[in-house]
Amino acid sequence: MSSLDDERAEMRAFDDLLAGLIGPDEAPPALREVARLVRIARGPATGEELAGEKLLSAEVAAAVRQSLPLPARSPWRRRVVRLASVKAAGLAAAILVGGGVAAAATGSLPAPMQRIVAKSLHHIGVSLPLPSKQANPPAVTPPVRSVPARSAALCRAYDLRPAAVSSVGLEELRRLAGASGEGVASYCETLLLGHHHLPPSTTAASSAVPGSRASGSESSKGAGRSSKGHGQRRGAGHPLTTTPHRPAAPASAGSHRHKRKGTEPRGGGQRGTGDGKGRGSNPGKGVDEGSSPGQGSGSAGTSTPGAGTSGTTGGSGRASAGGSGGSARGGHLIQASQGLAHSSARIPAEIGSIGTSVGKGA
Amino acid sequence: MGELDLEQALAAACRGEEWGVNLLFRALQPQLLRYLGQHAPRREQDLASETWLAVAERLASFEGSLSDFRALVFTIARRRLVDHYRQEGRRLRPLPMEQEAEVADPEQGPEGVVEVLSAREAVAALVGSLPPAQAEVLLLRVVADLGVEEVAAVMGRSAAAVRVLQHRALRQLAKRFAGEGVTK
Repeated sequence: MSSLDDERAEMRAFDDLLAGLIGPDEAPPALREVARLVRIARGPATGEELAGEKLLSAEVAAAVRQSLPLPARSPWRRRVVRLASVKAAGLAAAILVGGGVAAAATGSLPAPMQRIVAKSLHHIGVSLPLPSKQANPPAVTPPVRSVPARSAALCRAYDLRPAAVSSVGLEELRRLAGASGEGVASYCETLLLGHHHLPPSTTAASSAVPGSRASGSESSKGAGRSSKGHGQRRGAGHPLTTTPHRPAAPASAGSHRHKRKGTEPRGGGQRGTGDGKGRGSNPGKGVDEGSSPGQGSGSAGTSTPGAGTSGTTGGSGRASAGGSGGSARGGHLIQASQGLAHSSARIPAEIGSIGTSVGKGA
Repeated sequence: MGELDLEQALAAACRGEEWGVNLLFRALQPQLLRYLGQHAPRREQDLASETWLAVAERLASFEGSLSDFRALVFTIARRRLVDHYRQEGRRLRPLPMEQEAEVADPEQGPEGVVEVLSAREAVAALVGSLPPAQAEVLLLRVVADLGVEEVAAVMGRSAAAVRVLQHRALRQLAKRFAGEGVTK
């Protein structure tokens, strides 16, 4: 027998010895002691070692039963069910998401949901109407005419800094002014004072919302404050009670980020100009008088102290934003709010920029 | 208890039947405690319980033979040990013998002396003086009753490497016990 065979035989013997197949009597003398130790080490269980066996066995069995899979079904049925489930889930999700977004876009979700969706989407730059806090949904008023937001925005920009108006914008202003038989400055002044109304063909219908900040119950609240406060904003057709301020910054639009205590336009109504903070002699009680533009029927909507105000306009419909709606109601109103907004250090700069961008965008 | 009985018990345990689990427990728990006790004395009960609970999570989906199941149980136990050692900042290795084995009384003879040792003491006498890898191979082969292939799988080594390790271990033990007895 070769040494290799010897080694293999020894390996097998070692294997058997460790497996307990070779007892001490059969083991080579040199490994007899090892064989005995192996036998003892593999000896029967003691009572101590099996302590708690019932309890642990029961626990383990219960755990196994809990993790058992559901009764098996045929593979084809599993596949069909899985496929159907996935499709149904996808369809449901699509309907849910699509319907929810559509409803949110029209502001027709329930108020809490609408607020959540609007705030959520606002973070990604999508503006949706915030819900009215009124319990009853407001009625829809007939369409009203308004100055287009773009004209107002251009005029505001021109009013602020003529050089800042782009050539295209200036050209447009000239065209509009020419059509009115006025110069640009005169046209804009008149426009911002609220004396201009566009021909019906250029107006957009919107649903001004009674009961929103511009009217309804809030109006009555606002009336008391407006008598005290400066910085009222009134829509066209209302006597202007504020002194126009030359705005240093176009912070005209109400920001979505403002906390509004008053109601907000629902549906097509747009938030009016922005901030009611620190206005006039009664700081913190900004008053916003919105109106149904062009109708002269607007009533005062009042912002609650410290809250951003929003006037409702029937302005440019949903697509137009607060800034444009506000501008449509009258230059004094806008200018007053702009000037006051500018004078208030508490107004975040972003609000002004938002208002501006929205106004331009409209 | 025969292997056939244990195979049936394993099948029953996989269905969550308590009697099957109980039979497996009776067969494997002593081995588990002896293996864990050699690594982590005074912690073996806790580690064994953790091992069984981890095994329970696998049993429902377990497919394999009794040998495979043994390998699974000791693989889990070994992982628990590694975690335990990591918490203590140590590496996994069987503890050396706490007390050096004494030479048996020639009058009494080695066999009689050995028989009075408990299983745990016998395990310690077997592996306590070996290098860690050899000791681990012997523990898994003797105490856990695993074959070479299963030990290789548990330790993450090749079967050939395991054979070499166990060969060296036995030669070393043979040299050590030649003409000696082990006493308490």
